[in-house]
Amino acid sequence: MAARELVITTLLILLLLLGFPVYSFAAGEHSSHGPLPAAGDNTYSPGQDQAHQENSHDSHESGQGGHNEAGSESTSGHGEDSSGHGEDSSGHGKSGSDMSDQTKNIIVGGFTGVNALVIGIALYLRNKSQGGLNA
Amino acid sequence: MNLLNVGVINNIFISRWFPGILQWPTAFIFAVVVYQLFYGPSSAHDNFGTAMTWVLWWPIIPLVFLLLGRFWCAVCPFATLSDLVQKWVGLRRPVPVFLKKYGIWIIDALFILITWADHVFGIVESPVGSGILLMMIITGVVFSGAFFERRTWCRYLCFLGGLSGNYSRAGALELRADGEKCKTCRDKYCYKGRGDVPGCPMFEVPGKMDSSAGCNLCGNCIKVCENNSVSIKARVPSKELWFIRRPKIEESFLAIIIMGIVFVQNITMLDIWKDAQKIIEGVTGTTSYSVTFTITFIIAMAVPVLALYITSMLAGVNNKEKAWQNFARFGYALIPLDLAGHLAHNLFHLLAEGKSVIYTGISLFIPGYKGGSAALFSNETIQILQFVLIGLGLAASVYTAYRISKSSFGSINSAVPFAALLIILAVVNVVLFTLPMSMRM
Repeated sequence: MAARELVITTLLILLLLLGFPVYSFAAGEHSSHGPLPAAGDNTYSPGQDQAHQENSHDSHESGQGGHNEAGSESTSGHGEDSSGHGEDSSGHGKSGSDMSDQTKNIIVGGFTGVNALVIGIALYLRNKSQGGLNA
Repeated sequence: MNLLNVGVINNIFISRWFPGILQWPTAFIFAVVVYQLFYGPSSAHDNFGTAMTWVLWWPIIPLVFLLLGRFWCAVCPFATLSDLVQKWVGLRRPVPVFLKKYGIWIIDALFILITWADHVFGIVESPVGSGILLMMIITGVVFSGAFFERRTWCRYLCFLGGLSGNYSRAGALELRADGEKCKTCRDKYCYKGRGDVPGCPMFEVPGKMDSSAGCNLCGNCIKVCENNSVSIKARVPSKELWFIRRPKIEESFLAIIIMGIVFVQNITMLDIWKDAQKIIEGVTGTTSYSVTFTITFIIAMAVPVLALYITSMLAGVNNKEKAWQNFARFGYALIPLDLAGHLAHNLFHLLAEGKSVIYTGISLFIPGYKGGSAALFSNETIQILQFVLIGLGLAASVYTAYRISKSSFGSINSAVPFAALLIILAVVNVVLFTLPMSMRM
């Protein structure tokens, strides 16, 4: 019974701990997310020019804004101009770019901590049950 | 033909290095991917982790399911992690009854939730978002490996496992055991394990297996069977779907949900999505993307489910079965078309953006390297391949509906409404593939 309560408590703690890194991400990331970014990125259209469609890597700028610019350059389909796309998809492409390494470390550390806690509890329960058997 | 009669194949499966020799490189690449997602370039376009995950792995995985069944699950890094945690600290408790009972429903729900979250939080196009998704899965895997026996996560909780289970039924490979030989076997090493070789990690007893949904072809049963009962055979893809003995509504539900998800993935990558959003914004009076997408998502999920339910009701007029019974029985016929739609959608990403994997890989060693065009094939070629795939998927699905109808009711009449539905779904897929689609990278 005690083991069961411990597992339930552990689960609740895990949920709380998991919530933190996810919250960190949502707070830092979600606000920068616009409409499905992909739609504004590099639009493929069946009839468009091959060279343009090929999602040329060198046409992109790395880092913030690179995707958006590429998005506005991409054709919307069948050779038509896609003006407005980059604008519509503002926010996309900078995913993660405005997140500091410190925040990333907190997220990674949070998950690592949760995993370590799970392993620690399992180890404790295993040792306890083995002790019980030996006794 | 039993492929284990081919010396090389048999040697591979009985080798003590199999599947470990594939597991460890996969785990290493996975570690690099996770590191890159968090600490690599912040733009998805330049991130090796994003390219590997969403341009290479995700598009190729349905193809692996088609050709090799659930073999990916044998070498999946999450499974390797689960095994390691279990070996070190595992309590190996029995799988909770509710997981056995509702596992596939949980998988259905997780699949829907992750697809929704992908769009609302922008997981695919955000390296950190993808990293967090993987970390969340890792935590679930660690928890499962620490507390429960075998690969509980893979069998009962992994959303990809649910997908792979469904697709593997349509796969071209099957592992089975000779039921007659197994009846006389009292050891059941295939389930219990023997010496250093563990029993089936997926909770299967090969002698009773009539589906490939739970077999990951890890070869443990082959190594320990003293009766040479186990065989691996090539088969006509989708053949298993013709003879489902105990159809489960949750598995059929997953099949139709996947169709909805493929539609969502396609629709939100199309130019017309912008116009659809504006219409929804006008109706709801909000410009919140989360709201407009959620409404679209609910509709895209509900329409195929309702369509299948109505079709099941129509079929019931003929075969006198209840709608949910037809839903469960004929839902499996959707799987080949699901697989084709999934493959066709991702084929675009693989073939139109495939070189980005190489370019981002090179940039790990030569910082700033951008490469050239990411396309492997022209748009026209990709589109033809997409249409061919949908055509093959439709043919396999219609034929499956025909076989289900014939074996269950002795006539093909019950298959007619489902054939009509399948044709409509295939046409929708084809139309979506003719429209301009955006890239992932």
